[in-house]
Amino acid sequence: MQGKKAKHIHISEGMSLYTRDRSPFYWGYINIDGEVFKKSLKTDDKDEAIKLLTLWKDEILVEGKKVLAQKINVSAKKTLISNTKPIPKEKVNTTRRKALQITSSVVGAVTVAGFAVPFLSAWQPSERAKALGASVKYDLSKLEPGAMAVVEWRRTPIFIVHQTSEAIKNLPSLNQKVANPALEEGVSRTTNDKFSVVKGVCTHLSCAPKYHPEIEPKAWDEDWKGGFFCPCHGSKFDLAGRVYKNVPAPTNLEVPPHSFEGDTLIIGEA
Amino acid sequence: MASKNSLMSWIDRRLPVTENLERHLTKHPVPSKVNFFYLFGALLMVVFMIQVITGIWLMMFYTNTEEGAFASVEYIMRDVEYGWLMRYMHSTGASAFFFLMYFHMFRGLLYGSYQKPKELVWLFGCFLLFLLMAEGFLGYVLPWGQMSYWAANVILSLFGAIPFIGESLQVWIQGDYVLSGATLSRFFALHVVVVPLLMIALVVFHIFALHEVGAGNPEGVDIEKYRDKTGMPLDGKPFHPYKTFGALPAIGIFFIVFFAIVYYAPTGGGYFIEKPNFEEANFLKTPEHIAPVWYYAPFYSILRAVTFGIPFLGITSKFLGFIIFAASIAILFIVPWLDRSKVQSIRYKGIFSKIAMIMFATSFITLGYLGTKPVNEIRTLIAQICTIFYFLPFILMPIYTKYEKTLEVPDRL
Ligand code: HEM
Ligand code: FES
Repeated sequence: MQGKKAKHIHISEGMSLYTRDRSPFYWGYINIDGEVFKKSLKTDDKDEAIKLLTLWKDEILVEGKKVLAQKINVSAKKTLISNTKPIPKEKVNTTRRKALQITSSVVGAVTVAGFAVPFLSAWQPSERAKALGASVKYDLSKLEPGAMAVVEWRRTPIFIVHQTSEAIKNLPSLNQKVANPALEEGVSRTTNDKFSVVKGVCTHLSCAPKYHPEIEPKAWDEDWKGGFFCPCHGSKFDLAGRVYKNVPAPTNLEVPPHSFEGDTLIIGEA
Repeated sequence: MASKNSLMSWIDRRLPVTENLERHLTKHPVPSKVNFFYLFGALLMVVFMIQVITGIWLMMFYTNTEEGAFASVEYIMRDVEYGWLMRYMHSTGASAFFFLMYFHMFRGLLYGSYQKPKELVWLFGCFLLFLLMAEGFLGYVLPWGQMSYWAANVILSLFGAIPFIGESLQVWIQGDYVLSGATLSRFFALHVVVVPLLMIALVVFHIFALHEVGAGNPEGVDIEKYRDKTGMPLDGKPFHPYKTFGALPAIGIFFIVFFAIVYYAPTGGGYFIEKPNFEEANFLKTPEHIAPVWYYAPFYSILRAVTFGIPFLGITSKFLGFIIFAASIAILFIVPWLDRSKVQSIRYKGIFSKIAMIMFATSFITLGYLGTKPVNEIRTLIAQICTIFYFLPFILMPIYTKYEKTLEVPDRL
C-alpha cells in the first residue's frame, strides 16, 4: 500500500480537508468536541469541497443538537456531583443577603407606587373639567306655573319645575305611593315651595326621565298624579322627584346643591 | 435547497425557528376526527386579524375628541375611499368576533374541553371573553353617537353603584363629573393599544397552553395513549397539512357570509350598529329606549332582571344587579372545578348534563332576545326565570356530574 502521501489542509479549528490515495475526491474531517466525523465530499474542486464541508458541519450541529443538549445536561450533573463539597458557611452572610433582599424589595415597591401616583392621578378631572363644573344662574320669572325648564349644569340636565297649586296639594297624598317621602325636605324638596330643582338623571341607570305633569291615567299608572316617567326601564317619580315603590330606580331624583336669590336660582351653590 | 438549509440552520442555531414551527405548526399532532365546532378557534384568529388591520386603518382617519369624533366617522363613511368598507368590516367584525366566541365556548361546555389538564386554556379563554367585552364596549363609545353616549352612561353608572367608593371611582374612570371628551380620549387609548395588546398576549398563552397539553376531540378520547414508533399518536394527524387545509373551506365560507353582511346588511337591522348611533351624542336627550348591541343583550338582561336589593345590608337593586351581572361572567371561570364528571364529552355524560346544557343554551338565547326589547312586567319575570336557569346548570354541576350515570368512553377515536 504505497502512494503519494495523503495531504491535509487545515480549514479552521476542528475542520480539515484531506486526500486519500485511491480517491480522486477531497475528504472532509470534522472534530466536534472530540467526536470525529469523516466522509468523502465527492468533489475534486477545492473551493466546492470547503463549501460542502461547512454545510456538513452545520448539519451535524443541528442534528446533534438534542444529543448535545443531553450531553451538556449530563456533564452539568457531573459537575454538580463533583462540586458537592459544601461552601464554607462563614463565606455566605445570609443575614446580610436577607437584609439586601428586603431593602431592595421595599425600595422597588416604593418606586413602583411612586410612579403609579402620577399615572393614576392623570385620570382625575383636569383643572379645565373642574372649572366647567362651576355654578350657573337661572331667571325664574320666565317660568310659568306647570312648566319645566331644563338647565345644564356640569353637563347634567337640571329640571326646574314651577309647581301648580294643584300639584302642591297632591304631593302629600302621594306619600303612601313613594318609597321615600323625604318629608324633612319639605313638599317641593327645596327651600322654596313653588320651585322643585332636581337632576334630570334617573337614579336607576342614568337615563333622562320624561316630564308628564298631566293628571290623567297613563299606560304605566292608572292613577297618575303627574310626575316623571323614565322610559328606559319604567321608573316613576312624582313631581318633586320622589321615586315610586317597586320600580328599578332605588332612590329619589337627586337634588343638586342650589339656592335662591330673589327671582334668581343659583345651581351649584347651596 | 442547500443554501436554504444553510440559512435555516444558521438561523436555527441563533433562534429556534424550525424547532418551534414543527412543535406548534407542522408536526403538532391534532386528533384525526373532530367536527365543525373545532373550526371556530381558527376563525377567531382570522377575525382578530381583520379587527387589527381595519382598526389601524380607521385610526388613520378617526379623531378622538368630543368635537371631532362623530364628524370623523362620517368623514370615514363618506369621503375616505373605501372608508365605509373599513368601518363596516370593523363593526361587522365585532359582531362576528362575539358570534364565533360564543360558539367556541359552547363547544368547550359541550365537550368538556375545560377539563384537566386544559384548565388554563379555558381560563385564558375566559379572560379573552372579558377583554373582548371590554374592547367592544370601549370601541362602541368611539363614534360618539347617541347610543355610544347613553349606553356608556348606563355601564359607567354601574361603577357608581358600588357602595362607598362608587362615585369617586366613576368620576376617576370618566375623568369628569359626567361622561365627556376626557372619557372618549382615554377610551380610545385603551381600545387601540392596551386591550388589543393584552388580547394578543392572552391568545399566545391560550395556544401555547393548548399545545402543551394537546387538543381535545368531541369523543373525549385521550389520543396520547397510543402512539406509533415516531411518537405520533395513532389517532393524531400532523397539524399541517391536515388541519391547515381542513380549515380553508371554513374560512372561505366565513368570508362569504361576512362580506355578504358587510355589503348588504352592515347595521344588522339595528343589532350590529343601532339606529340612534347615526345621530351625534346629546347630553340632554336620552333616547327613548336604550338597548345594547346583540352580543351584550343576554348579560344586559340579567342586569335588568334584578329589580330588588337587600335593604338591610345596604345593597341597592342597582348594585345587586351589577353583582349578578358580574357573576354571570365570573362563573364561567370556575367551570373546570365545578365539573366532577369522569368523562369529558356530553356524548358520554348522563341525562342531567344534557338537560343542563339545553337549559343553559335556551336561557342564554331568551335572555339575549329580551335584552334588546324594552321592559315590561312579563318580560322582567321571564328574564328573572331565565337568569335562574342560566346559573342553575353551573351551581348544580358539582352534584349532577358526580352522581349521574355516564357511558363508557371508547379507547380509540
Ligand atoms: C380586538 C377586537 C376589537 C373589537 C371587538 C373592536 C370593536 C369595535 C367596535 C364595536 C367599534 C365601533 C364600531 C362602530 O360603531 O363604528 C370600534 C371602533 C374602532 N376601533 Fe375597534 N375593535 C377591536 C380592535 C381594534 C384595534 C386592534 C384597533 C386599532 C389598532 C381598533 C381601532 C378602532 C377605531 C379607531 C375605532 C373608531 C372608528 C369607528 O368607530 O368607526 N379596534 N371597534
Ligand atoms: S334608567 Fe331609568 S328606569 Fe332604568
